[in-house]
Amino acid sequence: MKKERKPGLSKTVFALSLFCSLVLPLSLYAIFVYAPIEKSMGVVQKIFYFHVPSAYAMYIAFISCAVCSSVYLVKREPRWDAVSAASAEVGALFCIMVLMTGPLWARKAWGVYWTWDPRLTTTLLTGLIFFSYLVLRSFGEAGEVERRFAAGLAILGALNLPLIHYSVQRWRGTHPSVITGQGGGLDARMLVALSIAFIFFSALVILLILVRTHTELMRQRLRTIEAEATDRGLLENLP
Amino acid sequence: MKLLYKFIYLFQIVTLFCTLLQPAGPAAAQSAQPGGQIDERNERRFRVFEAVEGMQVEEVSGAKLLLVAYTIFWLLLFVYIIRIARLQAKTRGEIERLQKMLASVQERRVEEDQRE
Repeated sequence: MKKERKPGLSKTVFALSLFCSLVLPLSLYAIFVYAPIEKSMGVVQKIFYFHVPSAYAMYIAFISCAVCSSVYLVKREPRWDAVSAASAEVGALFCIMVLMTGPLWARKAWGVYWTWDPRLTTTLLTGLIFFSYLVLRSFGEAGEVERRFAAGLAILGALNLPLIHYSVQRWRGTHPSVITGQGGGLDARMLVALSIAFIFFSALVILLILVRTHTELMRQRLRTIEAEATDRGLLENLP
Repeated sequence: MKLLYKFIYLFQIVTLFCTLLQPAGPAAAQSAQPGGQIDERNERRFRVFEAVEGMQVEEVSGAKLLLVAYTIFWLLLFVYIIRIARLQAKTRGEIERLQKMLASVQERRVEEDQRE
């Protein structure tokens, strides 16, 4: 008899959760105790250690979404669509984090919450593209046409990502560029804190995508069971 | 009973009038205080908007902004994790319910076939 795979958390998810739980206290210690306070901006600069890795996590999720969407367009296998939808949602979450923590830092650093700086504008634009992807998919149960259209939208949104990254270098805005090689660099202790935060966020974004994908696959399974039952006429006389 | 209703209506009308006739706004409230001392700056703010002279320096607490940013971050993350957990539980419950229902329907059909 074939053993049915339980829909519980897999070993990878458990390992990643454990890893995140261990790295998080280390990251917080590095940010708030080990890393020094920045000279000109003061304590508010510590937003940097969550703001920049959030943007990095957003990149990972959106790239994953675009790659899986491309594979889905070629292979038409629902599992790729599930990973794509999960990645888009997680990416949108990190995009919201970036767009909310950034203005709070900017309020102190620039004196305003928002400015139409190239990097800020391109990030907002990319976020809006992926939000429209999620809205498109949320119109009832996404059919084949909606999925394909959403996949195209994801690829279009991902094309914006290099634009965000190189916008600071191309159109000199007000956004800091200390880690893109254009600025004066980071203090060694700040770099350590940032690196640990990057490790934490890498694990976190992969963990969230895996868990969300698992949920999406479960939903696909539910839809399949419902469709099969309806086709066989088993749901006709049910209460 | 009718008299009681009339009394209630009368009371409501009197209360309404008293509310409407009360002096409105903070300036009016202050003027109603004994001595009639009105804060000139507050009163002026209601009547005129003036341009600042020289560089305006507004102090914003960096610690507060940091706290708000981190609160938003953790709040969003926890809300999202809870959302995924609830969605998973709901989907799992629906799958189980549907499988049980389908199993019972199939059993019933088999029984009906055997009877026929």
